[in-house]
Formats: sequence, C-alpha cells, structure tokens
Amino acid sequence: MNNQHRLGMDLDGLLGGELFSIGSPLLTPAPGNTGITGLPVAVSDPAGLTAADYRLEVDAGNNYLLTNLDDGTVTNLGAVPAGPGSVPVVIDGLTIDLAPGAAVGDRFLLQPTRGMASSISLTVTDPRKLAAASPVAVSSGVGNTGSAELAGLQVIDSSDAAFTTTSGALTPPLLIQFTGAGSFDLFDNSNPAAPVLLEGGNVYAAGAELFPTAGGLDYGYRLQLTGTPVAGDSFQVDYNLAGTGDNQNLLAMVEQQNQGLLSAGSNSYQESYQQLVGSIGARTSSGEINLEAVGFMLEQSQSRQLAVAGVNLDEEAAKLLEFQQAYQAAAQTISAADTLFQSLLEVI
Amino acid sequence: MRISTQQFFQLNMNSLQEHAERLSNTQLQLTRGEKLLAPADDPGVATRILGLEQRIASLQQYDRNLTQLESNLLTEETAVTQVHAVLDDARERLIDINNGVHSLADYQSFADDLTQMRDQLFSLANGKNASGEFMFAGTATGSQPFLRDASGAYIYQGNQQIREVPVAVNRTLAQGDTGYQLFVDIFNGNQGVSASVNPANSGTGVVGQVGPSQPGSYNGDHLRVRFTAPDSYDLINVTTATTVATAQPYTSGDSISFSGINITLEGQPATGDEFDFVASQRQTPFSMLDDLVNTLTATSSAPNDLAKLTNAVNRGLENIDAALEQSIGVRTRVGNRLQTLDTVRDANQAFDISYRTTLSELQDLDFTAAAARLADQQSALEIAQAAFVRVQGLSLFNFL
Repeated sequence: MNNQHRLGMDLDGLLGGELFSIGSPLLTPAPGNTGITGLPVAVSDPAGLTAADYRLEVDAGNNYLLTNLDDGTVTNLGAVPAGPGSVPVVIDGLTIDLAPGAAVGDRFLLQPTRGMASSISLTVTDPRKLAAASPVAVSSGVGNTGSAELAGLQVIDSSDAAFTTTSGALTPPLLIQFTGAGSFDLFDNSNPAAPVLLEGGNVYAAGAELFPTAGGLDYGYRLQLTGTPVAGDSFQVDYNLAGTGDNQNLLAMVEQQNQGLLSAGSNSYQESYQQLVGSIGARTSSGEINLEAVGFMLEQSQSRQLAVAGVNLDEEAAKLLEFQQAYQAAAQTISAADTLFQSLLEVI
Repeated sequence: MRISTQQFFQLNMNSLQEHAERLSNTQLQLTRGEKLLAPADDPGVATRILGLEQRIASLQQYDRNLTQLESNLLTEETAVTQVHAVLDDARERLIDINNGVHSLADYQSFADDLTQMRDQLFSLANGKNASGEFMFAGTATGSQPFLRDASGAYIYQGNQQIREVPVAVNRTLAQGDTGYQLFVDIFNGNQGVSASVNPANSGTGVVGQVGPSQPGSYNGDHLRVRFTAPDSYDLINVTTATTVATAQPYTSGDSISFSGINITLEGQPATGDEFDFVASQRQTPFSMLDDLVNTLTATSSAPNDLAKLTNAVNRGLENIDAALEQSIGVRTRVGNRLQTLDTVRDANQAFDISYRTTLSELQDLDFTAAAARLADQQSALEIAQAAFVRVQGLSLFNFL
C-alpha cells in the first residue's frame, strides 16, 4: 500500500510519501552489556518475517549469534566487525547491522513483530497529501492523423532519476515522434522548440511496452500505445502537474483490495484477515472443548475422591444413632449389673 | 456409589451452573439477534460472514460511485446535447446565408448571431459539473479547459486523461469525455481533404464538393488548381512541385479528379486564381466560427468577395458537420455509459440480495426456535432448582 502510494502524486503536484508508518523491531539490551547498548535492526522483507522472538549475543569467539527463541535454532551471523562501519546481515526478513565495538557477553532481546500492529499509524492526515493521481501524463499531438492512442500507463518506480532530479517535473519530459507506422524516435522535450534526440529507430508494435527501449532507456514508468500511427504523429510525456482530478493511483491502491498480495500471492488482505479470525476461532473452539473435557475429568476425580473421603451426614447420623444406642445398651448393662449387685447386697 | 454430602451439593451446583450458562447464551443470542456470539462458536461460518460483509460493503461503495457517476454523466449529456443544438443552429444559419440574396446589414446580423453561438459553445466547453469541477478538462479539473489568447487562438489547457470510476469488481467506467474529444479532435474539410481559396482571387470561382475520389485515395499532398485563363486551368502538386496536367478546359460546375481527390468548381474564376487542397487538420468549432464571422464582417457586395463568402460558408458547413458528428459520437458514448451503468447497477443489486440472503442464513437467529429454547431452558433450570431445594431438605437429623 505504501509502495503504491509512493508512485502517486498529491494535490500539490508532489510525489506521495508513506501512507502508513510501521514501527521498527524492538531491541532490548541486557542490563550488564559492556560493549554496545544497541544496533540498527530494520524490516527489509515483510513477507519473510516470522512471529518468533530472538536472542542476539556475542559469544566467546567474538561472533554475533542469533538464537530463535521459538525453535532454538542458533545462527552465527559473523564476527564482530573491526569497524569503522557496520556489516548488514539479512535473516528472516530482517536486516541487522552488525556493529563494531560489541564486547563478549553482550546480549539483546530482539522482538521483530511484538507491538508491530499497534504501532501502525496513518501518516497522511491532510487530504491534499493523498497521492491519488498518476505523476505522469501523456498527450497526443494536435497534428496527429493516425489512429494511435494511449492504451496504458503505469508508474513502477518513482525513485527513478526521472522523478527525483527536479521535484514536480519529469527529467526529461519526452517526445515520441513516429517516423512510420512501425517505428518512432524518442526525444528529450525539455525545450519543446528544439527537442534533443535520445534514441532513434525504435520499433513500435500496437499494445507493446515502449520502455525500456532497445537502447536501454527506462524512466520508471511503462507506456503502451495502441492503433496505427502515421509518420509525423507525436505523443508527449510530461509531469501530470494539472491533473488535480486524476485518480489513477488511487484506483491502483483500491485494486490492491482484490489482489493476492499476501501469503506468497495467494491471499488478499481481506482473505488473510478472514484466515486469521478463522484460525483464532478454531483455536479458541478447540480450547473450549479441551476445557470442557478437563472440567469433566476434574469433576470425576473430585467425585471419586469425595465418594471415598467425603462425609455423608445421613451416614454420620445413622452412625451417631448406632453409637448412641450402643451406649444406651452398654448403660443398660451397667444398670442391670447394678441391679444384680443391689439385689445381692440386699440379700446379705 | 457412596454419595458424600459435599459431593451432593457440588453435583447439584454444577448442573445448576450448566443450566444457567445455556440460558444466558440463548438470552444473549436473542438480544443480539445473531447465531454466533464469538468466532469460536463456528470458525468456518465466522470467516464466511466476514467475507460476505466485506463484499456487501464494497457493493454499497460501488452503489455510491454509480450515483455520483450517473449525476456526472447526466450533466455531461445535457451539455453535449446543448453543444449539438448550438451547432445545429449554426448550420441552419449557414444554409440561410448561402440561400438567397442578402444585404450587407444582413451579413452583419448573421455575424452577430454566429458570435453569440461561439460564445455559447465556449461557455458550454468551460462548464462545470455538480461537484464544481470543469467537465471537459480531462483530469485537470481545477483549471479552465479552454482559453482564448491575445492573438485570438483557442488553447486547450486540459489533458487527455479521463477519470475512471470503479463500479463493480474489476470494472471501471469513464466519468466523462475530455474537451479534446468534444472540441479539439475535429478535422476540418471532408474525409481528410480540406479546401482553401487564395485570398487574392479576383474571380467568382467557388469550390463546391470536396473529398477523396475513393476512400483512402488521397495521400495528403498539397494540391492546387491554378487558372491560366478563365476557361483553362493547370493541376499542380505543390508538395512534390510537379505539374499533374496543364491547360484543362473549364466550364462552371465541372467535377475535377486528380491525385486522389475529387472536387467540383462553380462560378467564373479569373486568370491567376488558385484553389488549394491540403490534408485535413484539427480545428475547434470556436476558431471555425471566428473565421466565418471575420469573413462575414469583411465582405463587400463585390462579386469576388461574395464568392469568397460562399467558399467560406461551404467550408464552414463541412466543419460544422464534422463537429456535429463528433458531438453525436460523444453523446452516443455517454448514452452507452449510462446504459452500462444501469446494467451494472442491476447486477450489483442482484449480487447484494444474494449476498444478504446468504449472510442472513449464516448469521441471523431463528427467533421462534430460540424463544422456544429459552422457555425450555428456563423451565429446566426452575425444575433443577426446585428439585435441589426439595432434596437438600432430606436429612436424618430432621428426625432426631
């Protein structure tokens, strides 16, 4: 989304910047580090990221070791560089700049994706800054008599020198001059009064890409014409400075909704979100089932335990009665014996 | 099995809890009107619901786009119809000029009429739509598309791009047409051949019909008919500087065919008069009307001036026909788009209904069944409570 936004042009005629800002990986140094307390880590390939956390440490051999805390794999990233300057290493979608000066025993906790989602924020808040337009405009010459017309125009790299040399202009603006139905010359149209030839004798085929040309000219955009031109027909390629109502780049951004850009090209944003909800739902569901099963087991065990060790009041009452009666019976025996002794004593 | 008192209470509490939980679930479902309270209740259905909700939201956005698009297209259709009407009026006026005899004052009033029409066309070309954007500026909607510079030339400031509006999945419709298509991309002359008369001509020769002798037979060279005597002319190809034929006999109304073009000449040209034929070029209706107005105001009642006027009017008729054709083409495209728009809207609505039906089946609660279940669960809980109260009162101690 950010990439597409950068290919567009906003209402002020400037190239689009970042639409969303994304937080950087979280790197926490251990309190006892003696060498360095941090080093630059950036996400270079979002598709390669994993959900794991890592431990980065310098071992006794003065090598940077990266331990994946999820599966325990240890990767030796290389020796601590002598410096000056750091050595970038790419691993799991991350670029880690191995900094010089690290001491043996320095440790860091690297959490590339923790807090990533909550740190995404919208950077474009001014509607004027939304790069809705395409920065390139193509117009056909008023003298054209052939049937050639613009079929397609896509900006693929707005960091090309054609866009960056002068802000708000193409360097160079181009003039496509047909020399026949199947060939055209390419001119630098910086001075429309005297265009300068860049490359002559290019081959034209209806619907084919004009760039990069046979001579290797490439200005960061793709252009297709269709129809049959005649010699003398011309097309001008300029910066789309007046295109305040243009929405080509916005259309391209909206189109991403339907494209499979995630999971190696098989899922759209929405499908990925659905998958996420589905898999969380499934895990929750299986968790609930487990909870229920464990709950039953607990109930059963408690039941068994209570059946053996628990107190039944009726049982106790019955026993109480039993003992009471036994006591009464015993008392009765004593009383009978007493009567017997009394009788005997009376007789004497 | 031996039942301890503690166990008795625990078992009863567990079953009461279970009843209460079921009852509360049913009650929640009833208050929310949905089957699923959390994705975990049925993960498969939950993801399908999300997908459907997204598709329905897109359809709603497409519907808003269609409404906006329809308003813009209807505004454009009105404007193009007006353009067509003005051009039609101008055409009638030109035919009036060519028919019958008029005084110089008449020509002046014709010129005033045509100036009015030009101004009206110019204001239509710079018209705005309901959103306040210039309708015929392409995507350069912020600046006035047509300007008249100090030299009297008309400049198109808009661009040749047109905004596309998404109206369905992978389907966009153009929001309008550019001023380039409607007012600039008009070729003067007839079928690629345009005639002009040397201003120095002193005779009364008038070019009638102009055109290629066969479709595609004219190669775009600059051709000339030059009279060497009132009844004799040479045919010259100016581009290649060759003389095609010399000393051709002339009578008024002759049809002349050479180098792929076919023309008719009327009237009485004088010696040295020249008639030129070149490839058609783009000309806006504004500058074409301006040319006519200039000729009308400059004319005198001298025969050669009147012949020049007739020539200019003949050319004007050709150009207006070309402009009319262009406006009909644009209007047809707008009509086609409006028709497509209706079809797309119908299709979107059909999809919307089917998505909503599926969504309702997946998500909505069967209230009758849920209400019955609620009553069922409620009485079950009540019975469990009553039974518990009654049974827990049973104790030997009561009898001691």
